[in-house]
Amino acid sequence: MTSFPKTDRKLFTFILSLVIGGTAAGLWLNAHPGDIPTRSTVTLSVPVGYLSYSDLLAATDATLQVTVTSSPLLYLDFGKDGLPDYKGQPGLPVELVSADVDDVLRGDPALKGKSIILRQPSSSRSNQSETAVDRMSRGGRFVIVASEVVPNPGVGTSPKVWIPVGSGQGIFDVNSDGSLSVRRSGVWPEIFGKDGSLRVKSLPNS
Amino acid sequence: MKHRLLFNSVTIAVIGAMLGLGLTTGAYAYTTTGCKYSPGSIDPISYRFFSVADSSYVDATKYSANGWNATAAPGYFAEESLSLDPEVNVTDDAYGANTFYAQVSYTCSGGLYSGNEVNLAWNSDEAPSRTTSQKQRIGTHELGHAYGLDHVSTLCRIMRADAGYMTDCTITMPATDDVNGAIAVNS
Repeated sequence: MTSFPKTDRKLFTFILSLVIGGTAAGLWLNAHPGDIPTRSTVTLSVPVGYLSYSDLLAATDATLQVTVTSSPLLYLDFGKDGLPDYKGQPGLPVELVSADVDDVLRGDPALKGKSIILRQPSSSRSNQSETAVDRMSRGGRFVIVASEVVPNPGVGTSPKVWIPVGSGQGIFDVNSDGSLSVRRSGVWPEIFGKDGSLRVKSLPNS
Repeated sequence: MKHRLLFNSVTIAVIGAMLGLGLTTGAYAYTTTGCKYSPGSIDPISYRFFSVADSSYVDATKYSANGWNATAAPGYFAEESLSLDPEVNVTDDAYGANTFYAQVSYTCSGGLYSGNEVNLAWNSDEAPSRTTSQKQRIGTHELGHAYGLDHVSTLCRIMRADAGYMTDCTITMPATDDVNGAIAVNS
């Protein structure tokens, strides 16, 4: 029987331990990107983003405080003509929700008290990089920085819909104490917070 | 003696693990979507334009395909204008201003694209205001998705997609990390 000299055994043990440890760690880390083996339609986009709050305001029509009053309805957006351009084109999945305008912070004051339709990306998107930063659920209160647009054919029946812009930059959650939370903090230089450095508006307590 | 040997082995394994983590993390400035083309079907990745009204999107998409083809990423993109079943369906249409510049969509099943295809749509309500190089950057980004890459927050990577993406860097070609990601997914 062949026996290794003691120094070779130590060296062998050292190398083997190093290889096993390193490989195990590498495998563990690399396992994460593939954690979702199967899922349905995924949409990944390059969203329009704004480098400052003033840029966001300049690009939009109004700043509204709203309460979402309906569950989302899913539509597939096929563009201006409302038709697929090729067989099997999936269309852009979007959702419409109804919302009551509680207050108009900027824009047409006549909107106050009216019901409007909001368009938001569908929840069927990727659950990885594009999370729910730009979605609003029924019963939620929000301040939105939004633009009014004519929807493409087949996307609901309303002649106009509102789109909060900036992939979540244009949505602020209204907390129970009336304060606002930024959906995407750190994406622009302005600071929003209770230190009063910049407020969208002081809202009454709920 | 046995205990000391065991202790030494465990210690070395831990060091090895730390080294492994460090090396992997260092080479890991990309993320993947978990979906890709079926193996053996990326030579070439065919693409076709369907009712693209704005020729600048055609030019930008071709530039982006050639950009990826010039890298070490596996496979290559090739326009097949008559293909009835291309692997990238390219369109443009109006999806609303201030929303997105372009998007890729697909259905994933078992880690592979269903129908072995993805859909690339340019948003003609937004992208026209972009410069030629910005459109090229967007196109290269979207084809990165076709390669199975997800967004990153690292500066100057083609797969970045945050608010500073259009202004912080001027790259129109995949960065080394982007290419490494495409290689990791598709090799």
